[in-house]
Amino acid sequence: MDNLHKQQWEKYCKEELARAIPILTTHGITLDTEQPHIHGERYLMQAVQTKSGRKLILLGRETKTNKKVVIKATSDILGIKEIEHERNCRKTLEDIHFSYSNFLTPKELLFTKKQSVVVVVQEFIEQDLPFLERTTQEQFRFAMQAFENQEATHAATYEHRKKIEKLFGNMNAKKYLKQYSLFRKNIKDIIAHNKKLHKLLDIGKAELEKNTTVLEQYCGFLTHTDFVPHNFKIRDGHMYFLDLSSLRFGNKYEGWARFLNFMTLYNGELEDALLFYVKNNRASEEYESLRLMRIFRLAEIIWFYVSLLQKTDGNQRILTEARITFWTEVLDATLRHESVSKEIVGRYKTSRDALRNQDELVRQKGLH
Amino acid sequence: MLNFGPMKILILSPLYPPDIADPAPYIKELGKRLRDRHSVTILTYGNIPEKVEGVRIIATSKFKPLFIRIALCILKAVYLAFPADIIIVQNGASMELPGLLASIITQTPMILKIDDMLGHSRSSDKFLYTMIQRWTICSSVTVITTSENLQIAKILNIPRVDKKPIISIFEPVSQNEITQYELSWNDHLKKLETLMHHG
Repeated sequence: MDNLHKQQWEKYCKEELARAIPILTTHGITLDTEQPHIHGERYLMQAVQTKSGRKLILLGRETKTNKKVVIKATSDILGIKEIEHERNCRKTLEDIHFSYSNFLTPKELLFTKKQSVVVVVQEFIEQDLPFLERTTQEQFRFAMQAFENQEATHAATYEHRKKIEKLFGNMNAKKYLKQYSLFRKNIKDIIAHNKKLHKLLDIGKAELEKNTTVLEQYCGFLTHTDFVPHNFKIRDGHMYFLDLSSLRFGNKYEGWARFLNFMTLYNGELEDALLFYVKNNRASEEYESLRLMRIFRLAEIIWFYVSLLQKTDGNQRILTEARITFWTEVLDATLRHESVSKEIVGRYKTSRDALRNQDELVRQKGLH
Repeated sequence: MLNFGPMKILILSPLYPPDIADPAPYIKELGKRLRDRHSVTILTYGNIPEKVEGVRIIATSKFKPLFIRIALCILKAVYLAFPADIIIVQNGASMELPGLLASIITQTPMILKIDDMLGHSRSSDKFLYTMIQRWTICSSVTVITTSENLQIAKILNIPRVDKKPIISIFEPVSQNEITQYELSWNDHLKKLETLMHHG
């Protein structure tokens, strides 16, 4: 028996599709029969920090050319805001005079707003190879290019900040601390019994408070807060960003932290290589700043899964609990200046794969 | 390395880490390499500059409006220039002006270093910036560059520093690369210190 949240999502998908299909047909777009990005655990996905609403991500083809396209469609107010925000970010990035960045994005083929439905159609970037199937050395090279590209936009002055603050948002040490405290409080409210996690979150808070200068020192940089392989694609040696709505100004290691935490699970060798790089080529303050941002992002991901406890049941609930336990172990290791053991990662992956449902396994295929 | 006596050196740079654009990393490394033989102070724009043990780093906050931060930087430059034996100014109008005024007021000799070519080309589009640079060039004892293409009156070429070898798990740095990098710094500093002492 599906739970209420899943039923609501399915109802939303059905209604949104009914609104979007006539618009797409008018513009010569046909939807694929299989739509993996609306199934599986998609109903649980919601960004914690950035502007995020409900929207459908669909696959289709241009009827005339048979070219594959990606469609974003929504009538949800927050979803519309997110799409418009992303378009504005893209436009503004081209005009920032203090930026040396160059973000490639898929070509926009259509943007239309009809009867309160916003539809965006973009070219589909066919990858030569999914990111995680590349050699670790190649992954390292692409990741470094992407990080350096983001870091090349530094809003260092009063005038720069005035220009970007409103659109992108601008995090500083004080705001990170405030946000962390909120994650900590929310987690404690929902799972009052998990004393180990509470203690770790307290240690994390103390670490962030003690090192606000280092946290603040690397703020003002453009950073992609959701920089993980399913948000970019590589074609002909170039990286295309699929989601610019997660760009904001903040600590330059915020994006690194998300990526490294992700790689803890998917490619420990790459995580080690990136940490080695920062430790040996950058200032010692930078290495510390990265560790602090990882603590921040770990509290965020734990809060994300804790917030799902109320929305899940059955195997999905067991999986959510396993995820909380796993990320707690990662937080523990990070606070001890260590990496989580391969055994813990392996054990978690085995139970995760056993608990995922068929739809989610299909959604995950080739996603990273 | 030449055996010059210790000097009090004031370095003025518009960029300094955590800024990543050139010449920020160079200025930090320069401070590090001069600190053992000289007393080094770096004046820059920034909020929380990266520390270098044995080097005094003074920053003027970038979060203040342009006019205020330039005025504050001029005051700091003049104050720091009084005890200094030499001022090295990295090009960029925001530091050329404080350097110029500090040098005139305190009568401290100034070396202008023009090798931030991006900053230089931006300045050449603006009349005021061009005027500031011309005046700074006239007031400097020496104007130096590592760029081979720069055509300015009285400019001297000094050896360029090699790009710092990147240490990575995948491509270990050879001893040869490290030696080359160190040699390039030695040549660079030798020329720079000669100019600091003899103009």
